[in-house]
Amino acid sequence: MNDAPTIPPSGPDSGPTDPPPSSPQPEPPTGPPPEYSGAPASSWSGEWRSLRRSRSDRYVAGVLGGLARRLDVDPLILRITTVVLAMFGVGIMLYALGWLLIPAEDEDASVAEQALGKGGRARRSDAVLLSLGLGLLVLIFAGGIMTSWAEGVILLVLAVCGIALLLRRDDSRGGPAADWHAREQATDADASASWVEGPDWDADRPWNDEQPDWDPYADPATEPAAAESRRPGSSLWLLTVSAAAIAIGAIAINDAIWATVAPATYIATALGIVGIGLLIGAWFGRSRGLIALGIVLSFAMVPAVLADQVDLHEENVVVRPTTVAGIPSGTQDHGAGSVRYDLSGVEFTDTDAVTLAVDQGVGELTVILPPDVDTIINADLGVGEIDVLDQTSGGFGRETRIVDDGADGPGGGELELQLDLGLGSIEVRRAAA
Amino acid sequence: MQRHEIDVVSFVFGLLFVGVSAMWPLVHFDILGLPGLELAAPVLLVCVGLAGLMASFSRLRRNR
Repeated sequence: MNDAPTIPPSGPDSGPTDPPPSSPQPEPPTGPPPEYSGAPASSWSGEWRSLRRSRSDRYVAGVLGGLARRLDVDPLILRITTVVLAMFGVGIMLYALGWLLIPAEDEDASVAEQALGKGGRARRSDAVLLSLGLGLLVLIFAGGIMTSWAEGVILLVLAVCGIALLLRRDDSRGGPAADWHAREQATDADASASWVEGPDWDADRPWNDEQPDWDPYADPATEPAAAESRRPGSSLWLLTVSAAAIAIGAIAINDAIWATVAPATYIATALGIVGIGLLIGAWFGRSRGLIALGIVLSFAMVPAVLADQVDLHEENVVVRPTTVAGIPSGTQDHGAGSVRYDLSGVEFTDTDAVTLAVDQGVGELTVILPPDVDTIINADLGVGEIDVLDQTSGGFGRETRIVDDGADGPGGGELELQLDLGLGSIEVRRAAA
Repeated sequence: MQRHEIDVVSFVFGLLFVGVSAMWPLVHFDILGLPGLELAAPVLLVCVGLAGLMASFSRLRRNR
């Protein structure tokens, strides 16, 4: 046996051979941090940040090609799923969002981030602007689909064609991404000389000042702009947001004390003030940071307006004919609201045969039948619920055809109903005998 | 705040947002309604786009 272990180590040579187990030495940082595109993503945010739109495997913007590679599935599956979802407008909305938020594989920032000036000034500003506008257009018309299917679908297809065309044109310019990476390296003097859009007053990337929290995961090493001297942000952004907050607060007080205010009024007011702030910022100070806020508020307007239109029954129609001749002929068109055809007062004779056709966008459509008339009901519903003579169903694209002779069996006149509703509920019931 | 040359991006988005918010009372008080919105939204976009184009062109001409 050796006595050496019993003696507490005091010399400098004993330390490295016997490190205390309770305090492991941390690895010293060696070299630059790994790039996130190559490193295995361990967290959700890492997964998201490593997602890229594919340049090679794409039909429109490479969203599904990139997603398929990330998920390791056949892109065809995702494409078919998206096309199916596109029939309800949802697929196109999701695709547009993916395209706005996911960067292309050779770019650091997504379209939305570029519009906000992440990692530099707004490059290719015309393309970015157009694409954001088209994204908004797609959303507005996706809402339009709900009111009338045919026109909405046509406009949606046109909007998507516009986006596709824009991207093709962007490609044919020849490697725009490599182009702006090179510009990124250029000095400010070179840059302002080569950019037509480059005004003097934003020569040192002021947008970053307005969005300090835009990208909390950003690695400072990958953002050269962070190292540059910062100018204090424009007071216009704070001014506008404060004004919007005051206005919303005032409306809320009004809502609570005096009169009920529709939810969309809050959003519309905030959006208007943000727009005014941007208009002021076009000539005085800087306010581009408000664009993100405005886009979010614009998107929020679509469901708020639709909910308002459906719930408040803007168009309340009650049609109550008392004779067979009083039943309106031709297709009856209605927009949004609550529509009711009460035929309970009509006396049918055995020889009467009439058709009632109703075409409605959004809302509730109710038809009340006389107790005994023989009825053929064709109900066609985009999204919602159908309750026809106590047979209920719900969901997307419902078509119901029911033949019912009433309490007295065949005989007693014939009535055919053609009901077409985009979004809402259809109810057909018989009046009490 | 000093006056600077027009920032077309802020200008176009400002017009768009003001236009969208201005449509709300028209829909709410039934001047336009949802079917009218289907026409008004594209008209707004065309107007905003034309205003943006004009601002861009006048700016390009001044810079030349």
